[in-house]
Amino acid sequence: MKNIQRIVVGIDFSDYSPKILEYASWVAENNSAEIVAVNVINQTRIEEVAADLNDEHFTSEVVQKFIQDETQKRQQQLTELLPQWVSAEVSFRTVVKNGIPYEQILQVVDDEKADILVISSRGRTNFQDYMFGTTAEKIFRHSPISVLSCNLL
Amino acid sequence: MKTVKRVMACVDFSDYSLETIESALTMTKGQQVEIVLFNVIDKKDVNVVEKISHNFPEMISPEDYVKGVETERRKLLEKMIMDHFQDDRARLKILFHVGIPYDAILHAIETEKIDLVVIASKGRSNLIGTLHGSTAEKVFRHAPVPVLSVRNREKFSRHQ
Repeated sequence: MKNIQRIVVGIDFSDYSPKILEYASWVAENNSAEIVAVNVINQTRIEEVAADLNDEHFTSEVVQKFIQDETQKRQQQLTELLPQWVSAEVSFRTVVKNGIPYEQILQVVDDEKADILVISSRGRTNFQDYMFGTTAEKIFRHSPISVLSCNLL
Repeated sequence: MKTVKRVMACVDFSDYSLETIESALTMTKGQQVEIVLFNVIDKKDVNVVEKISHNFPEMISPEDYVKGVETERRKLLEKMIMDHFQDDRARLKILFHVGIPYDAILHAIETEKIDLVVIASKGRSNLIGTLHGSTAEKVFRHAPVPVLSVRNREKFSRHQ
């Protein structure tokens, strides 16, 4: 890896997200790279919404609507979060996907031809900060590109 | 963000080591950051020598073994630096410790005040490249500082 042009950052809006954005921004500045921030609407969340609706007839429409609204909401959240932690000299884009987090993040890595992926080794779904993030672990095992994991708070 | 002053690049003289050092330099491009090229002399090997020297004291001593391995590896690393990283020579420092690899790495992070660890996702002891390095995984899990797990799209593909 001689050059870094594009950095994908996995954001879950946990307390770790600002720190990894700061770190990614530092690497981006050193290499004049671009940041792509990704958030994934978890499949299990979508299934929960679907399960709450008993009316079969409307389910798919309502689920579509949920995904649409949630995507919009999260795009907004990302657009507000990034400028706070990413240096003004670094350009960035935001992506919101839905599905299984690690699969979707790796899909974005492929689509964007990213050079490096930045994640926090812990996140939302930890059992009292005790266990290692399962998403982080799956990414560690399957990522085709270098992974920078930050555990800073 | 805490400023990054010292980066540790873990070197095991496998095919991935060159990529590891290169990545450490790329990450910190343009910064006055010292890169510590860290290699662990496996305690297991030293233990074997200890056992031999116990029975045949005139043959080899563990101290001489460690010294010999260190000299040999230092030469290899210096050659690697001359061949590939001539321009960044001033930023590179070589360090050896004796121990169990993952344990020695985690220990050195503390004692050497390391801010970032760069380690290949595979290394020497993999079963023909099919398994992830267990040392890499342990460091990834337990390091108290950020870890860059280095891999290469061409050498390591998810879709084979």
